[in-house]
Amino acid sequence: MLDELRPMGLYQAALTLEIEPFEVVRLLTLANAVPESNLLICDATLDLIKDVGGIEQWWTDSPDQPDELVRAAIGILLDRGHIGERSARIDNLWRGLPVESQSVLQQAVHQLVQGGFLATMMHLQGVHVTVAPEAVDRLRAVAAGELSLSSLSPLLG
Amino acid sequence: MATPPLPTVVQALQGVALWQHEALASNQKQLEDVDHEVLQFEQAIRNLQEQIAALETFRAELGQQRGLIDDELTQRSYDAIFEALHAQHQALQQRSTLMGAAWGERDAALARLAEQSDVAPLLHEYQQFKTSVEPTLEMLPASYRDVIRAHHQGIVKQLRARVSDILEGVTELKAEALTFDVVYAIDAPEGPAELLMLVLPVSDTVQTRWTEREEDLQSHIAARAIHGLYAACHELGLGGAQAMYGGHQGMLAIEVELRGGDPDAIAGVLERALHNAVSISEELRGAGLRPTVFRVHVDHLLPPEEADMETLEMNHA
Repeated sequence: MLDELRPMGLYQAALTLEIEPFEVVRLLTLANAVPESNLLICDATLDLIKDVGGIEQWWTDSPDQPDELVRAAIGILLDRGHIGERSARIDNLWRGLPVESQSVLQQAVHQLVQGGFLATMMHLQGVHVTVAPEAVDRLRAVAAGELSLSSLSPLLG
Repeated sequence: MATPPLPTVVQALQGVALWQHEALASNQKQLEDVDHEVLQFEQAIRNLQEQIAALETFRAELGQQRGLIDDELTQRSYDAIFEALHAQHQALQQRSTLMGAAWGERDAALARLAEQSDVAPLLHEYQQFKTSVEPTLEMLPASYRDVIRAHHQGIVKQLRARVSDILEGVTELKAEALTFDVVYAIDAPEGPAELLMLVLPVSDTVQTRWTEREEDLQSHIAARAIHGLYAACHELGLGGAQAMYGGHQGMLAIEVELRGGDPDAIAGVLERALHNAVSISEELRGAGLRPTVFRVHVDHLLPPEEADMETLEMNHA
């Protein structure tokens, strides 16, 4: 019972946030909140890490089919307005999903970046992603299931 | 008394002829001597030229040996550095095991906390809330819910404070001080700094297989060093820098791309930041660890023939 009340260690915090331990350290450094004793991270510090790192959980429910998953992810990016300069942390796109779904989305994002539909950039928060403004209409059509992108065909079948 | 006969011209010229003969002979002798000396000097010069040529050949060979010594120096320095780091790595593994045992005792103390008279009622109430109250909370009016939740948060706050008192205390090991090096190099082939590399004498699994292992003292050593590294990056205006991590001879290697700057100035900032990061760590102090930061030549940390291959093994974290 007391275990529920103990502050997290570094690895536990990383598992909870779904980032790597040293990314936790990077964000703690950014927030000037590295614990002096035993690297124990309380709930408030965990919230601070989320805030500083722009770590969000976007998915509450996710489709099983890869094509539906990719369309849904594109829809989330557009609905949240992550277009042009309004970028977001890239791993928000797959945080909380099963490993297989994460892999599908990571490959899809790679293809979409290669095709110029999405752009990635380094940000204080970490690697960010955004929809290329000129690709908004086509990606809206993809999200609506009205358009298929040839660059995604090998991935989605 | 008869008058001596007067010299004839013939006789007079005979004297001259004698002189001429002697003078010519002497001259010829001198010429021959000089020629002989010239020949001797010429021979000596040829000998010296041959000696110079031989020395030049020898010098060229020595020059080649100098290059080999430089290569040997690189290899010997690399071997010496990693031999020392391996020894430190083994010692840190043992110290990590000791610290793990001490942390285990701390966790046992945490378990015993539940038996303490002032904590047991709080814990009982906490447990009761979780098992009986919380599942039915939604059925209560909001005002009741808020009061109960507020009361519960008060209990949680008291319990967490007690838990933290135990967990955040410094675990002091009764062990000899253990010195280890945080080794780094700055690659600046054209002058401005391009790449920062660090090697820590801890297992690379603290990063590469972190989901499969327990967090331990080695994880904390790495985390503290990385705190220092990123603090230095911020100070250097590299706020968005992302380190790459990988293994080198089984130990944690870290790389950060730099965007120019004076390598010596960067080294100063890095060493100060690393020192600050490890010095605030109570668990490193409690474990008796004495880290030092040491800069080496980039080739002595990662020989050129291995650099490309190893760099490819690094992963963004």
